[in-house]
Amino acid sequence: MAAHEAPSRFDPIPARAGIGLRFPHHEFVVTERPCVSWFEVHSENYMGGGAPLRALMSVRRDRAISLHGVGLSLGSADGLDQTHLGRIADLAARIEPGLISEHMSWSAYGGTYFADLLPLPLTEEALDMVCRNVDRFQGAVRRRALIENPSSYMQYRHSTIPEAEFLAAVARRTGCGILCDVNNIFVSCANHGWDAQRYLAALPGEAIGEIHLAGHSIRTLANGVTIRIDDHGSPVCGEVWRLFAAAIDRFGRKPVLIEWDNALPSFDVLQREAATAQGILDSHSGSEARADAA
Amino acid sequence: MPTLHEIERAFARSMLARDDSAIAEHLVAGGIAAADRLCIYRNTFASVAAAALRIAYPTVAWLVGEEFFEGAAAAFVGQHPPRTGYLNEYGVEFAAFLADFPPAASLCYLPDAARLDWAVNLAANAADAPALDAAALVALGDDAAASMRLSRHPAVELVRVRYPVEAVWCARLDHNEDALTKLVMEPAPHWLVVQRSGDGVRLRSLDLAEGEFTAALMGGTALAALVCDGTPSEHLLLFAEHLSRGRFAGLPAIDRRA
Repeated sequence: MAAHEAPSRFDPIPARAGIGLRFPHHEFVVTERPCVSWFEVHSENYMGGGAPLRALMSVRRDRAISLHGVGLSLGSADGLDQTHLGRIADLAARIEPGLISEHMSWSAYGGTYFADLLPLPLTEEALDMVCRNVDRFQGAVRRRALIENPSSYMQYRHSTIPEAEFLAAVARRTGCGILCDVNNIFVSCANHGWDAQRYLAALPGEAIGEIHLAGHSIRTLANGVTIRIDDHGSPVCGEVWRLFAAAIDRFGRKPVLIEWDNALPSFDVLQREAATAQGILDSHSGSEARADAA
Repeated sequence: MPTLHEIERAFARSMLARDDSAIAEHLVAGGIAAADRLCIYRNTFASVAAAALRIAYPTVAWLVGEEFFEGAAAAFVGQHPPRTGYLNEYGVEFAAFLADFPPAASLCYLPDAARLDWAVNLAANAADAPALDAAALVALGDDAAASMRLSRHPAVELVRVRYPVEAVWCARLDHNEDALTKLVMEPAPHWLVVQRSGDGVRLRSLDLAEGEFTAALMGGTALAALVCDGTPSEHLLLFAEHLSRGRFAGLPAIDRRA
C-alpha cells in the first residue's frame, strides 16, 4: 500500500519542541503570541464552530498545527465511525495540519464510545484490523497519518506480537508514520516488565514522525503493588527525560511535544518543559541539529 | 484464541455492566487482579463522560452541587453511555433523565435548567455558517419571498421552558449565589431564543405566542402564511428582529437562483 504524501502547501511541523494547546490557554496564546515552535490540539475539541475554532484559526496564521485525535478508535472490530471520520477530514481540510495522528487502541464497540484508549490484543487478526482502519483514516484525510503507542495497564494472554513490532508492522503495511510517546513506553514497560531500550530498538527510526512527552502518576494498589497511570497531570519525570534522550540518540532530530491535560498549569510551566525538551533535542541530535539551533 | 470481536464485546461488558467474568480470563495476571486493572479503564470512562456532561450542563451542576451532580452523572452514564467520540454532542437525554430522577424531584425547575444548558451547548458548538441576509430576501421579490421557507441558523436554538430558568443561568454567569435564593420559581411557560454571539451566548425571552410564531418561522412554514396582512405588528417586529440579528440560516444557492 502506498504512503500518503502530504500536499506541499501544508506547513511542516519543525523538528523542535512544541506544546499541546488546551482551551484555558487559548486567550493567552491568541493575544500574547508566545514564542512556541508549533502547537498540537485534540481534533475533537474543534469539530464545532465558534470561539474554539476561531482561536485555532488565529494561532494557525503563524504557527504550524498538528491535529491529534483521541476518538476515532482505529482498533474497533466493528469498523470506524464514518461520521467521526468525516468530521476529522473536514477539520483537516480546514486547518491544513502539518501532522495528523491517532492512537493504536480501541475506544468504541457496539455503538458505545468508552472515552478511553483501550488496549488491543496484539495478534495477527488485530494487526489486520488496525491496518484496514489506518488505510481508511489516511484515505479520508488524504495524507500520511502518525499512529501513537498507548499506555496500558493490562496485557492479553493470547497476544503474540511485541507492541513495538506491531507498530512497526502497521507502519510498514500502511505507510503511516509512528508517533512515539516516550512516556507511554516508560509507563507500559514499567507496568508490564518490558525493557524500554529494547522497545525503542524495535521501532523503525525512519517511520518516527513525532515524539510525545508527558507526566504520569504512580498508584499503589491494596496489595502494595504499584502501577503507573498515564494521566498527563504533572511534569515529565527524570526517567522519561533520560529515555527521551535515548530516543533522540537513536531516531535523530524529530518534532517533540509537551502534553499536559489534567491540573493544567500556567503556560510558562509548559514553556519551561518545552525548553528542557529543546535542550535535550539540541544536545543529542548531532552537529547538524546544533548548527540549526544556533 | 478469542477473536477481536469477542475481546471487545467482553471488555464492553466490563465497562458497562461491571461484569469482568468474560474478559478476566484473557488477561495476564502479573501480580495485579484483573478487576483492579479493568477498574482503571472504567474510572477513566466514567470521569471523562461525567466531565463532558459537566461542561454541557454547567447550570445544573451549579444548582445541585458537585456531589449530587457526580451521582446523577454516574447514573446517567450507566443508562445513556456516549455513542461517538465527539463528546460535545454527548448528553442530549440528560434533561429527560433528570425529570425522572427521584433524588432531583424536589427541584422542579431542574429539567428546564438542563434544557436551557443543552440549547446553549448546541448553539455554542454549532458549525459556523452564514446568516440570512435581509437584502437577499428582498432581492427575491415579493412572490418568491412569500413562498420561502426559512430555517434556524445552526448557532440558534429555540427552547420552550415552564420556569424562568434564564434567571438561574444569568446568576451562575454572574457568580451570584445570593440572586439564586431570591428567585421566585413559579410556573410561567415561555420560550427562549439561544444564540451564539461573539465569544458568548445570548438569550432572548419570548411569550408563548411569540415563541410559537418564531418556531413556525424557523421551522420551515412558508413566510406567506406567517407574515401577512393579519399578522400582529409585534410579530412583524419580531420577524424583523430575528432577521436583523442573523437568526435565520443563509439561503442555499439554489433558492437564490429561484
